[in-house]
Parts: sequence; C-alpha cells; structure tokens
Amino acid sequence: MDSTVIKTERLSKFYGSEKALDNVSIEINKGEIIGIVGPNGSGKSTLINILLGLRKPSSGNFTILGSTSPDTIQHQLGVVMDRPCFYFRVSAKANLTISAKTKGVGEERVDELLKLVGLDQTGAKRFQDFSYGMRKRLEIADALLTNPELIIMDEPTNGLDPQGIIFVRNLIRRFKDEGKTVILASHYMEELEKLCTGIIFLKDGEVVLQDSTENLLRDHFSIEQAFATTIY
Amino acid sequence: MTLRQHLDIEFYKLNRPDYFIFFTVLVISLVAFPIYGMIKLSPLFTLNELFSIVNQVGTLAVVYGAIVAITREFTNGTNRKRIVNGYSRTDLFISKLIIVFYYVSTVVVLTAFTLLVLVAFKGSEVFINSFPRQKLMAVLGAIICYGLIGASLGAVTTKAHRAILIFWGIGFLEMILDILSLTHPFAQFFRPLVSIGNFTSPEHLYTWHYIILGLFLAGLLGGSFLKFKRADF
Repeated sequence: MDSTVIKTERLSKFYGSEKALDNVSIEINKGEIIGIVGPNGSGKSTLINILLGLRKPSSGNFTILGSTSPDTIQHQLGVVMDRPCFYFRVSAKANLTISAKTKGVGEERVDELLKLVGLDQTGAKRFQDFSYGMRKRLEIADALLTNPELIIMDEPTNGLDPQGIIFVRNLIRRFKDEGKTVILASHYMEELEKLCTGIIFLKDGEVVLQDSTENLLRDHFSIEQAFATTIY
Repeated sequence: MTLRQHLDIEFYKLNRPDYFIFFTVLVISLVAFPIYGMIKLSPLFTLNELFSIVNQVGTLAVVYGAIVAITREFTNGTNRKRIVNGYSRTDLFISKLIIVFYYVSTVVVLTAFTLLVLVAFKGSEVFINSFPRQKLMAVLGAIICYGLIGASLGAVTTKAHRAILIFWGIGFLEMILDILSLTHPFAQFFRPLVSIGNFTSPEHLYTWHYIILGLFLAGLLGGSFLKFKRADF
C-alpha cells in the first residue's frame, strides 16, 4: 500500500511576475508530523493553499491522499487555517453545524467537539464577539469534524493563550499516537522541534532543506540553529 | 458535496428571526414610505403607477443586497472554507445565484404585501382598475435582472465597495450615452440599466434594447463565473 500522503512535483506559483513558489518537490508519508517553516513571504501559505485547492499552481503537479483534486478527499482532510473563517453573526454551534452539514456529519459530533475545545458554554454568543483564541479553538473543532486522516494546520497556536497552546500541542501529540499525518506551518521553532518528525525549510518560494528532525538535531544544537544556518 | 447540500446550508443561514425582521423592516422602509408620501401628495394613484415606483426604489435594495450577500462570503473567508470542505466552485456559484433569486423574490412578495396593506388603509383614495399582473411580472423580471447584476459584480470584485462603485460607474456611463444619443440615436440601446427600469413601461423598449441587455447580462454573468472558477481564494 502506498504510504505517500502528499507529493508535489516541481510546483510553482507566480503572481504576475512575482514568484511565490519555485519548483517545490516534496513527499510526505503517512504518520509523519511535518513542520513547514520559513520567513514571512517564503511561500508556506501559498503551498498550503495550493494543496487545499484554494489556489491554482502556475505549473507542476501534486497529489494529496492519492488524489489530484483536493475536493474529492475532503472527508479525510482537516484544516486549521491561519485566519479562522466563519459567519460573523452566528454562534459557535450554528457555525459548526453549518460546517457539519457541509461535511455530512451529525449534530452530536458538533456538541462533542465544542466541549473538547471548551466552547460548549458560549451559547448564543456570536462569532464576531469571540476573542482570537476562541475563534482559533472553533477553527480547530471544525478541522476535527470528520476525524480526518490528514490535518493541515497553518499557525495553529498563533494568538492562543498558554492553556490553548498546551491544548493544541497535546492534540498534535494525540494525532501522532493515532498515526495521523499532520502538516504544521509555524514560526515557533521550539514547537516544531517538540512535535515534528520532519522539517521543511522554505525560502523565497524554494525548498532549501527537507530532513527528519532527528537528523537535523544530530547536526545542530536546535531546529532554531538549523534554521539560522540554512536560511541566513 | 451536492447542490442540494449547498442550498440546505444557505437556507439554514437565512432561517433566523433577526435576519427576517431586519430584512422586512428594510424593505418596508424603502418601499412603503415613498409610496405613502406619493399617495398623500396625489390621492388619485393607480396601482400600476405604484409598481413603477416600487421598481425604482426596490432597485437599490436588490442590487446592494445581492452585492453584500455575495461579497460577505469573501470578507468572512467562508468561501475559502467551503472550497476546503469540498464544494465545487460551480455548485458554490450556482447556489449563490439561487439564494439571490430567493432573496429578490422575497423582496417582491414583501413589496406586494406592503402595497396591499397600504391600499387597504387608503381605501378609495387609491384607484384600482384591475390587478396589474403584467406590472408585477415586469417588476419581478427587473428585480431578478438587478439581482443578477449585483451578484455578478460581487463575484467579480469580491469587495462590496468596489462592486457598488462599478454599479454607479455603469449608471454614470449610461448618462453619458443618453447625451450621446442626441446625436447618435443608436447609443440609447446601450443603456441596460435604463432598459431594465423600463420593464414596467414596455412601450419605451425596442428589440435592440432587449438584445443589448441580454448580451450585457450574459457577458457579466459568464465573466463573473469564469473569474470565480479560476480565482485564488
């Protein structure tokens, strides 16, 4: 059985003459927790958005969970976006119910997940009145609706309080134990070092290094040092 | 993800009392007050004339409503989420158009209801010769066209203020064409918004008006669909 979950071949993306991704070829296998790290504008979000079908690549190919079209594998995919996207004037439960309808999931799962992320007591409070941390928690609950095999997280701990950060990190550890595959884009090197089995460094749209965390830590004092050596 | 599921979600979103109350108050304020004022000024009013006023006043509500309904999904980022959740872009676009049709039909129903209430209150002061079925159909047709224009502009621009500016721009261009038509009569046909406004007075419309309007709507709708299909979210 093919263990490749994501494979990209010479993936490029241009906005006009500006290069956002340049010949990115990566391979991610089942059960891996891969951290994508790079300076602002290095192409992390562009790569994730292409994999999710939100942006069209200018050239190159990719497969995700064996499919070339991301919209056919959505039940196996959970996504925590960098910016939580929900309807502003409705409650957490209503927003999650809308997502559950989209994914064909029953309402009992909505209640279960609201409890898991600590939003079960928010009642009729509207999404627009949520703090950023609460919005992020709702985004995480949304990603878990279908109990997906592959979870893509773009800056999942950004804006969370310490309790929220611990929650997300424990969640990722649980995914790891369950054999799920996680793609984690983050600026927090320490977080990546603790959680990831492999790291991809991006710079100016190019993959400058892809290796296991174990190998990187063998050659460097920390992931932060590996990043500094590779990028600068 | 089927189109039925899209619509299920769209109606779930709409099925809320606060939306309905806001919507009703907005339409009644936009439609009822001007009509009430006109009736006060001139008691001998035909229901046909009332529909013409509704057509004018309702335009803004429908165009802006359609623009906001479409662009809000871009602003909230919920279009992104739906695509990530497995929606096909075609189904997403069609579900938006259907919901705009639903929205404009509700405007017409509320308008007709408001008119009936006003007529009931004003009694003999409003002259009813016959039920203006043709006018009602004309207003419905016009409002659907306005809804399509608003939805298309919203999908193309993704920002409400840009879409509204373009809509005003089209209106401004039509004013220039009106002046130009004094020396070049054919220019008058290239005013699709005016043509839609004249649905309630078809005696002012010629075949070329309908042809140009059809081309305008097809171009706008087709262009916005293609942009939506290829856009980066």
